[in-house]
Amino acid sequence: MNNSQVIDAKKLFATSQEQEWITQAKNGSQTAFHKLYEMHHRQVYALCWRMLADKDSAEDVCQEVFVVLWQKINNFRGESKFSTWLHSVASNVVLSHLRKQKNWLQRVFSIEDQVKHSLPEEATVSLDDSSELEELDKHIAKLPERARLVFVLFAVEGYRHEEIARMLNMAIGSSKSQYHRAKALLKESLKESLSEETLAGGNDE
Amino acid sequence: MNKQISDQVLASKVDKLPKEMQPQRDLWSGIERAIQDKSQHEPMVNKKSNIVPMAWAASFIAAVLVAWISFAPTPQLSTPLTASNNKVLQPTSGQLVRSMQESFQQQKQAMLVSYGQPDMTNLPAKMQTQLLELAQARKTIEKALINDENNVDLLNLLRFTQQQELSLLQKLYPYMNNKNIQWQTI
Repeated sequence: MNNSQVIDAKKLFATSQEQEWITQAKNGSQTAFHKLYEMHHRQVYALCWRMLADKDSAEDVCQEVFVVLWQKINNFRGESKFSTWLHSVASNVVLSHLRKQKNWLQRVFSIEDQVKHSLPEEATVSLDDSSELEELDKHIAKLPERARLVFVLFAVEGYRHEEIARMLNMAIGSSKSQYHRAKALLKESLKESLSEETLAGGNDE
Repeated sequence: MNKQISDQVLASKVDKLPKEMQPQRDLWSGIERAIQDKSQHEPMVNKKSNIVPMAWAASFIAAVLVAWISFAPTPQLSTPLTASNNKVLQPTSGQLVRSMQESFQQQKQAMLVSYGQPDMTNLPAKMQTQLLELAQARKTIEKALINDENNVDLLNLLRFTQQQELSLLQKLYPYMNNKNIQWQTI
């Protein structure tokens, strides 16, 4: 038996195990639901963290995602992979959370742009919490909210612009332009950090 | 130093992003507490099966309400159900429906007698049609009550429809004995 066959067998076992837990969770088994949580919560948390750029909010919303999942798991009909369906549930819970969080002032004024231009260091992410994060994640967290959401959903989660536009209640063109904006900002900040590293390296010498 | 970051470099960095992150605190205990009190929703398939009768009931009530609005009932006859009315509408058995039907027929008959048993065929065709439609609505509710005699909503709807019918008769009285009065929106 070669390595690929071993991997396939493991995947098959994991899938059938997951299917069993889903069935049991649908019948009200919290033990099976806990297994599903153990299997998926790190991925869901990663999605929440990237979309919210805040550790505490990400943890709270990740909990909310699994509470919603418990309530809605009977709606999963197996037409897609469970993880794909779970990520769409999670994305919607995050967006719903963001809508609830927005106060009237944020709706009237585009504060995110002001924050970007005047207070770049005051982005919601705390670098103390993200010291172990990938460099790119730190830069994503500093993006303006809408650009960040579009970038994460498109580039990381693999949604299409049509889907993102529907989810974020924006035009498809806006989704595309926010994505390009996010890319430009990321390239710029990555370039800057690269320059700083080079400078720091030069000083050490 | 001024090296540009290309799309490919950025895409490669995105591909290397970890798929998973570990939350710092234990999230399960909170989830476990929350789901203790939350029931699981029924699958969407079951929900859909409930939608048809609900939609039917909603459409029917809407139709009666539209009829009511178009007939512009007088305040004295369209007052909301009072405490005493509610008492009357307490569902007990099929006798309640029969009692309501009898009471309505008595009121209607008394009203027609007081008007001198007018000839309804004297009414303009549009008025006759509206009167017939309202009577038909009342009969439909009565039929529905045969199978669901303790349905409070249907009982209230029957009561309401009966009131509208009596109200319309009252409004049509001037037209019953005078063909020369022109039709106008009531």
